[in-house]
Amino acid sequence: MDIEIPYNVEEREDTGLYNAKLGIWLFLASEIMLFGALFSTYIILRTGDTTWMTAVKGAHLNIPLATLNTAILILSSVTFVMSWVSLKLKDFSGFKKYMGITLLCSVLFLVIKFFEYKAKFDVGHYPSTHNFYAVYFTITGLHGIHIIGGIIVNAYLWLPGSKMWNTDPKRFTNRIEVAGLYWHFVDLVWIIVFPSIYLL
Amino acid sequence: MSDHDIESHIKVYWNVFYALLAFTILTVAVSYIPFEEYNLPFSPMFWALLVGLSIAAIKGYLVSAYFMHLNSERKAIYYLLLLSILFLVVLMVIPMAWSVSARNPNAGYAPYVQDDVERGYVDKDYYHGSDEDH
Repeated sequence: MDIEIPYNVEEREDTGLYNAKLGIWLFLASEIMLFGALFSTYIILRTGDTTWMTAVKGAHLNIPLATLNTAILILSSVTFVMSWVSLKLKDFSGFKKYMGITLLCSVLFLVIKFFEYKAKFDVGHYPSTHNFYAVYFTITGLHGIHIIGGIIVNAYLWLPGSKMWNTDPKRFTNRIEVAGLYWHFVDLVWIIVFPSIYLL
Repeated sequence: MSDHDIESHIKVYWNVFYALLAFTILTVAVSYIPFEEYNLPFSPMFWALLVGLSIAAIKGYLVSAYFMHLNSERKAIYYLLLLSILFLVVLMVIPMAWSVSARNPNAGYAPYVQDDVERGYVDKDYYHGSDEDH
């Protein structure tokens, strides 16, 4: 049985979009609410406690590592766009190369995050230590889970999923665009998390 | 999009990347500005927030406008985003209004701080210090 799913490639007349694109934007809208709730929690806890992280002995966040992670994530975003552009130019090997760099950056981000967390646990700082750490681990942890989710989907599209390029190249290009929108959103969240948690 | 269009887009994508890197360095640099040493209106925290989040907003604009193609997107998506931002504002304003409301018995009180002191996680003297020492 072979059912043709409509609007995978062609645009719907009423929305002007192919369905997956509308779908990912609806999902991202719900993500805005999710992270928004955590940020409003952060703002209230922070404004209610003037001492904040100085209340915990020896508390500090590793700004050089977080800055490096910001740069890595920005690089992964631009290489993701380039992988999509490569498909638009019908350059499949270019797609493989750029998506490979994106995945490498994503894994590197998590490795750095691991060392960052480990340094906190080593000195006995846990989410239960203080509101400051609760907020820090919750927001960066949720962001990290988003990175892991992105890696799973992107790795699928990079390896087994890329077979679709031979049978339905336009649909595959759209898949990459949609996965890219998610990935840029994760980058965007980090761009806000970095100054508001690490630098303030 | 023709191939020529794409070529010019590639240039834009990489320029956005360099701009994002530059703004990242800038945002770290401005975090070292000692706002408390200048005689500014409002609190030093206000200025740190204003400068830090302004740069973040510019970076956010660059990512969403160029990487996510929001500078030339369909109306359906603009309406969708407008609606979710509206809900986000409501979501943020309600608890914030309550936390400063005169009817809130705990207005201006940091929850759980006392528990933290009692459990010995934090140094109690910090909570007796003045607001300026941060």
